Amino acid sequence: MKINSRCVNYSLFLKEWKEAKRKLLPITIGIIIFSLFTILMMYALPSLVHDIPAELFPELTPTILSQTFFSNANNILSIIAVILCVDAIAGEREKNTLTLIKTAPIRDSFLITIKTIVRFLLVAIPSFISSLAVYFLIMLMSGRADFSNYLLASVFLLFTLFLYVSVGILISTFTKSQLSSGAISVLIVFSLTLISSLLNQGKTISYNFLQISVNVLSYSFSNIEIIVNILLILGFSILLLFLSVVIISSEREPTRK
Amino acid sequence: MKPLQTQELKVIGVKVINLKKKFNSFFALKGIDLTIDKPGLYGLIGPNGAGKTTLFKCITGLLTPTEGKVILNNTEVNRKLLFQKNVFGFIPEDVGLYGNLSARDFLHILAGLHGLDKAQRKKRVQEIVDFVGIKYSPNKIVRYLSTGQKRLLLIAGVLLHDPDILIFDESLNGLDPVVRSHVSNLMKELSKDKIVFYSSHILTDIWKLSDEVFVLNNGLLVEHDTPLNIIKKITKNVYYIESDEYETVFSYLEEFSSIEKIEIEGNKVLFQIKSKNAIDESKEILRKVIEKHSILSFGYYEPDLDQLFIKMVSSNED
Repeated sequence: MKINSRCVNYSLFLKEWKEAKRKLLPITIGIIIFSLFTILMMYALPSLVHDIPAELFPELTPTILSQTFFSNANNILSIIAVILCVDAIAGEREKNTLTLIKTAPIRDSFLITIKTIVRFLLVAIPSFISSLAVYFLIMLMSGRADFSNYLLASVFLLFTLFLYVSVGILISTFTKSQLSSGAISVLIVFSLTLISSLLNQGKTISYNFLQISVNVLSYSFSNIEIIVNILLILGFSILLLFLSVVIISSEREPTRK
Repeated sequence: MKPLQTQELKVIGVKVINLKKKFNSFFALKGIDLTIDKPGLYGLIGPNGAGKTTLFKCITGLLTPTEGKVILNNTEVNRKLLFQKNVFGFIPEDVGLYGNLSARDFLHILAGLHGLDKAQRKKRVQEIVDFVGIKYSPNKIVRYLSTGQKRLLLIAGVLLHDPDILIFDESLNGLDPVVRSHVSNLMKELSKDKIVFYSSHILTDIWKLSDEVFVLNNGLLVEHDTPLNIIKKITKNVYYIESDEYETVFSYLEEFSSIEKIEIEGNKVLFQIKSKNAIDESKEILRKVIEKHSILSFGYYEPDLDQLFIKMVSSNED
């Protein structure tokens, strides 16, 4: 009667990973190219825009370049993170494969956790590799960069992406198709970007956890503020994932499209 | 096929008690009661929209009933009871497959999802592949398999954890005669020690294979018996007279008080005799008809299965 849960969870992880890893290389290449372009564009911009005098462009210090990268990465990768989650539950429902999972002895909490981990890895690995690539490019172009601050920003970017993955998983749980899941996800990401832009001023800037990877390069944060930001990100992520588990467990017709 | 492990003595059975399922304001199931308490092949038939898939999904816990309960092997169906998911194997009509995996990976993952560890998995997958008769390369990617190959893969997939109860929703549909016959033989073999509960639109298979047949119509169970008994019940004391003058024969037969029901089917007039001594009575009726009309043939009515199905469903609707 007893089910070997380790086998069940490992098999689910393996299934998710086998399906996800096909996307890993193209996503990694795409994100690296995008990231390197954001830096190279900064150098190319003065020569591309002839009407504006060159002295009006900021001096391209490692901090300015890092901020540019993290700002763009924060906006673009957040959309990629939620889009990669649309197939998590809504995709299974659409392709009628959710029945195979719902008739297997898998706990809903593990189902959501494993799907979140795999999708997080799918966005975190390319993001981390591209941030390292950008760091080396900045070193190459400007000759110096503060690695510890840069690493902190990269880690914060990963935390923020985890939050966006949780948003994507939650949306995928209550939507019936990948299309509706994608549309709602993009709408939510835009709204969150707008809110975080509004919060990015005055006192709220220290706790604007959605922009923390950019802000950590521009402002000095106390250890308490850093811990509070991490706790806020993790707290919201766990809350969203908990809601996903509650939704999928309480559905009366989970496989219905 | 050997059982997965030494099994304890257990009660195999499906019990459905006053099962109702409502979608918005529409009742798909209106109070179903059924009991299957021994291994065998049990067919479920019914027109489109009768509630067959809804019934199967309620039995497997994929749908929560609005009212009533389902008991599998002496335990009430509850989605939270994980062990219960290894009691049955379900192939829904429209199930999807993980198309990017190889057939081997698909089976290994399904086995793992039902709790088989690596050592058990390898042995079990090979056993089931041999039993089901999967001949194609295990490295073949699932999305490139034919319909028949996919069906065999799914059947193999639900057998891996050695369930007591197998539920196949329209699993014979869309298969060529060779694969269909192969799947039918597998089902027959499996039904020796398992409950195989299946639905199909191919009535010949249902009547030929099933030990018992359940007829579902409009959310209600309208008939349950062995195929032979159902045929007997419906065609009891029904005779036919084939004639070119079938309309006048029909009018003439209406005058007989011993005839319960008359209907026309092509150029045949079908009539059911209510008398206990139906054979003698039919001969007497025939003699009288021959005196007045020319007939082509006469006999005991044996409907084809499609007509039998239509009769069962329409008599319920009346």
